[in-house]
Amino acid sequence: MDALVFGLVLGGLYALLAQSFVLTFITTKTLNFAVGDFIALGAVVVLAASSWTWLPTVGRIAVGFTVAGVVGALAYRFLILPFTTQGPHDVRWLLSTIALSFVMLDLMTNVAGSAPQRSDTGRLDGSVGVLGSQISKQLLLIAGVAVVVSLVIIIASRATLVGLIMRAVAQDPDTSSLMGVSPRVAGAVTYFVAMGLAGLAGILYAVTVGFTPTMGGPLLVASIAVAVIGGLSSLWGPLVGGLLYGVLTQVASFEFGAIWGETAGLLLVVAVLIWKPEGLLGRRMEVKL
Amino acid sequence: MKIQALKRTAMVGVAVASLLSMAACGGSDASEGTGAPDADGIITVKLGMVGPMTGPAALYSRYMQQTLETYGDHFEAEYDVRFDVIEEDDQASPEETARAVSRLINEANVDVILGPPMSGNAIQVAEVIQRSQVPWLLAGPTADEAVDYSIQPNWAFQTNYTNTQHVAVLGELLFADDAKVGVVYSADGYGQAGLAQLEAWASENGHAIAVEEALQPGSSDANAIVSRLRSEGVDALYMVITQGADTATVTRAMTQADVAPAVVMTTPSILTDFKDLAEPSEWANIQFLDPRNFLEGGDAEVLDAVREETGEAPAVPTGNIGTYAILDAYAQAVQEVGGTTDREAVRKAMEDLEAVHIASKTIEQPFSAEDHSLYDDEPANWLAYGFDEDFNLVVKGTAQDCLEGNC
Repeated sequence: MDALVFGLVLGGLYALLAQSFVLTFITTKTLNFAVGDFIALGAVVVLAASSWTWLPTVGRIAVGFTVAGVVGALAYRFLILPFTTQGPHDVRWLLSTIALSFVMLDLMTNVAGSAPQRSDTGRLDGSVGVLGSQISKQLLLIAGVAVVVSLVIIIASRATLVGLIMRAVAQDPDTSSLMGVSPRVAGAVTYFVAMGLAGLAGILYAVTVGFTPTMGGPLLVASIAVAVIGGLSSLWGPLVGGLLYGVLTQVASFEFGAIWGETAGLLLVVAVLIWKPEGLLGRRMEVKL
Repeated sequence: MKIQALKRTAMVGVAVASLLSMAACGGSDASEGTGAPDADGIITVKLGMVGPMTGPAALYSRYMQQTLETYGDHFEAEYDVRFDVIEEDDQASPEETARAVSRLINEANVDVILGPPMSGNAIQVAEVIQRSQVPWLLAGPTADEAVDYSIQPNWAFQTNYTNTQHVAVLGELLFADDAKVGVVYSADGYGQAGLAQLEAWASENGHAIAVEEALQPGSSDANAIVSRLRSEGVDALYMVITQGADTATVTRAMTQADVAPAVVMTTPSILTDFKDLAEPSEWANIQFLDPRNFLEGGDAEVLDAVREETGEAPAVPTGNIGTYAILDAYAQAVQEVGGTTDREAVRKAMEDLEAVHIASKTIEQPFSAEDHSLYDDEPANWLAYGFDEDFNLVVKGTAQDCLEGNC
């Protein structure tokens, strides 16, 4: 039971990050491989703002979200969009996002140093019993945020004008632009939300492990795995992928040793890619010739 | 044409003059390190220092620099020995270490080599330095392999404890009263080496480790690890983890799952990055072992002096103390011999030293022909450190006291 409960909770953290991959992929058909650094960016901004006692905790978290989001939108405009102009097979953005990752890592290391720093913004101390297991309240908060954020995004994508625009751009950017919708603006807004979510995850996660410029690295692999398992084209995908990946890695860790947890998760990714390459909830892309 | 020829002659003249002046400077440098007493009776030693001077591992060289800055004049006043330091940056890379050592031996013709400070790099160059027959001062490395006693005479001297010594004392404590022992180790070279050493000691002494759990550096949780410690009923835990931040991940999970082995031992790596990420209840029961007394006596005096002289915290306290000890031993030997050129005599003098000093502390008979390590594995000579509420070090007693249940 411990493995199941811990798996569900950790799966929530991975799901929150995977949601940022899914959002950008659905709208712009690009992925930001610097997501790990946006996780750290949100955390370091909140760390820098920790002395702003005049601002309530929620306000400081909002600052972290916003800064990560704005940097994400700028990265889309100047480092991703220019490298998608040669058609669907133009994947130069892949290299530019990796380069962005190195630049952000260096900047954060120079500004904040490489040593871990305690972060208390958004801290929930103690643990709570869930189905007989003691779970950290902080991780439970992250899992709860992941579920709420996913539901809000899903509902917004169906019931609001912004969601309609996003879906339109995702389906046919050319026709959307003829209708007066700017795919560039839609992409920038999507990147704002997606990188803001990565920053939010970093803010809440830094409370547990402390801030370091490299804190996003270990989460990056897991979040990509979760996005692939759930399906990059489904907003429900991160939740399902997070659940499966989290539970499987924890069960493997409990049964065979911690070192086997991540291995089991990555084997699941391979299995999904073989059986259903578009992910468990993803839609197969049909291309008319 | 004449003007051009004059210009050319003048340029050649300037170039020749420059070369001559550079040669004169070089000559001056060489005369500083003759290894014999000057008119004032001072012996200048060309000391080659090798270590990472740049990059994230630079603090491992900084401790050597700090100690020389702080105590250079002291050694000159005490032993009439002046250290003329030639630094070589190895960037913490074994290949660069090999190149740096080669330059020090073959180009700079140093009298003695200090460093490298990291075990892996020291092992890499051990054979070369042995062959060159240059006295080798190792203040930082703990690897037993750095000193190969099968090669005699041996030129390396070690003033940090060795892994074998540490694990001998640690093993006695962990397996006392047939305790069920668990190990959590980081899945990197440091953690795996620590585990292998304890496994070897346990095997030699008729014990077995009940649980061995690897922790990936940067892991988000250690719940599964702690669950296995609990299910196996571990009552003595050894955490050999590279980063204090990862140690905090384990102690957090232990607190959360209410797992509290009677004995929890770790390594001094807990001193980095752990405090800020953990709560006082998580370090209340943690201890580590060291033969030095960081809180009082000569060891503490060295750390205080470094703080005062450099205005910095000691970069690696064990390294600062080890550097003082090894320089003290070498300076005494050079004074005894009356110079540095007879390296064999200097090496022999180090082996025959009556005592080595660490500020006001004295360790008698520090070395012998068969033993070039300053410390030993007597539990009575090791201290068990714990922490108070504010994470300040507290001496719980000697390891022998702990074995007798008095710490």
